[in-house]
Amino acid sequence: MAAYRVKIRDCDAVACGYRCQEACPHGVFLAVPRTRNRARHAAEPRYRVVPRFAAFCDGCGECVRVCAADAITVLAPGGAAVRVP
Amino acid sequence: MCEFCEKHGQGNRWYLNPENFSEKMMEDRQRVRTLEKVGGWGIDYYIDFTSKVTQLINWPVIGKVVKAIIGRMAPNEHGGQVVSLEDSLQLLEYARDFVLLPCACRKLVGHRDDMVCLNFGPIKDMQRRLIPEGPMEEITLEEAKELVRMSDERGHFHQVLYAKVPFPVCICNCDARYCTSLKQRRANNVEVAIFKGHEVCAVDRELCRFCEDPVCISRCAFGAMHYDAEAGSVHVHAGECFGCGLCRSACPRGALSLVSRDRVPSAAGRW
Repeated sequence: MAAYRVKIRDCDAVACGYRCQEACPHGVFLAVPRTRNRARHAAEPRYRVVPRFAAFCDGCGECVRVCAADAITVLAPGGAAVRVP
Repeated sequence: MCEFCEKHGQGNRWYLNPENFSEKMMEDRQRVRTLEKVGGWGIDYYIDFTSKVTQLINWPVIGKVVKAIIGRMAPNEHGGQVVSLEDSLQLLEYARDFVLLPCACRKLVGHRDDMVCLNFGPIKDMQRRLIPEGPMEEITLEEAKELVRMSDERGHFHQVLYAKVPFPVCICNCDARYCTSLKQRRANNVEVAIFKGHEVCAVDRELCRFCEDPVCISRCAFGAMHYDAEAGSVHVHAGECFGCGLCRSACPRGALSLVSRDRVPSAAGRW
């Protein structure tokens, strides 16, 4: 399994429309609820996206390109960040 | 025969034993708790929690302990096994109260709203009680069968989900890109997340001529097929095969078939 690492900071998935999830061909990103309380969560759904399945990342960089907040960094096995044109 | 069938199958596969669908199963309090946890607590919390926990398996020391604990607990909780098209059609005969719910994996991993999660049994009442505002669609047995067939055509494999073995509650029409159980199994080696099916695929080398556009290979979600240059045909790595049968439905020459897992040495006993 390729050892790409994916980092996300300050993600507000509801605002951006889950672009990284739609772009990722390997389903690396998982939306997790922000609140711990289901009753509150139902009234106001708040999710953030975490790279829970980063083991499947092949470093294509699609997520970096589509992220509205430039919050995603993909690190190649050597530690260098994947750059997209 | 897998471990579940030996215990609960009565000579048949566990999900094809009509007794396992009976209402009596809901008398088990642990089972009801599991269902309420997944349904009421929220499937998003459940997937978040389980995928976080199974990640610990990759940790050096505690990984083995975590894996042992998960292996013990999972059959009492929620999990699944891959089933072929015929088996899923047959098991639908024993079930009733079919409802469609949005697939949680597609929702949480791909942000898609696909009503393909085919639930039956107590789920209808449970969903009404716990999440009355949530989307739900009631369908008939025929519609359920049609959905399963359509999913097979589209290239979505099936798994039967249990709420505490041996009580089947759902047939998933999974897309490997989004399926969180499959991801957990492949990334973290947690076999209990999704067990392999009772069959594996076999190639008839006389019939397989390796078409120009080998749909079977592209449909395999498990990376179990590749081109054998020497033989000029497709080769199935039986140890990797989950027995979903998607490749077989796509083969224009009928060169692929499903055979019992027990009869293939490299796959026997590997669930």
